[in-house]
Amino acid sequence: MKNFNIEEEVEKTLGSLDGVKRVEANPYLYGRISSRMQTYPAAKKHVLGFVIVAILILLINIVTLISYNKDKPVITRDQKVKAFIYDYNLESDYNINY
Amino acid sequence: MNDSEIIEKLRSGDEQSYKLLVEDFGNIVFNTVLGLIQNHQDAEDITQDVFIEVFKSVNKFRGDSSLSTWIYRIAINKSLETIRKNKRKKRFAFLHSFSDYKKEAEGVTDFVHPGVLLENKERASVLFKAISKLPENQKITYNLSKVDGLSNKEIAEIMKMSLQSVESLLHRAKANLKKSLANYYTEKL
Repeated sequence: MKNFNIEEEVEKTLGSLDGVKRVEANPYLYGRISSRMQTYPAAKKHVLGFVIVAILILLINIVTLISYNKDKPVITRDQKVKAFIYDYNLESDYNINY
Repeated sequence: MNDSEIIEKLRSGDEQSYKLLVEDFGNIVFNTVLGLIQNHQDAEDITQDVFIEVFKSVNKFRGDSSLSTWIYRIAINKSLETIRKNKRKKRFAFLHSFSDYKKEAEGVTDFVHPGVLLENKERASVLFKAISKLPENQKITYNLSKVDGLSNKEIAEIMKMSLQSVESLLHRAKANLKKSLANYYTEKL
């Protein structure tokens, strides 16, 4: 008996969408779309502006990095060793082979 | 005006044609989205999104389907985007707080479709809850069939499937709904 009732309830519920009517959309739908569309081209330009600025900053950084490395004086190994010896007062008569 | 004439006018930016399009398809789109999303406010927002997408994508429309089929597809895709986004929110809701998580985890609130007959509203609310738990393709085909009243052939065209696939999806959807409803009524009685 209980099973029969459940089946009946299930079937009735499955049939509850019979005769469902189409609902009207908001009467101001076009107006709302229209006002959102007004800001759409501006929003697109806005994003494009950000992209251009980001690319410019990246380019500036790359150019700066390249010119920094170009102008940087090249310090030889000899110069580094001499500087180390001088800094730590290691000068002596010995001729160190390195 | 036939579909290609409407498309040409839309591409040329003719506002009057766009307005007519919204008038012709506004209710159709809203009802499709409402059945899937089960929330009136969200359905309104998504309906607007659909027509904005139609405007943005009109140059990409190749004419390999009818205009109405194309619009239905956009409506379904936009609805699915929202459903998936809401599911992700629910999955990470526990990160906010335990009390918020409980509210989120309780899931969809009782949806009352405004177009359902008065005597069926309570049952329809139970049915919509069960529909919301169906796998995506079953949910879409069931809604297009029962809520939108489309034929299986029309559904097959919209979903780019064979007729047999649509029939199979509807059959499985109904079987799953029966199981879900049987569990619901077993617990209730």
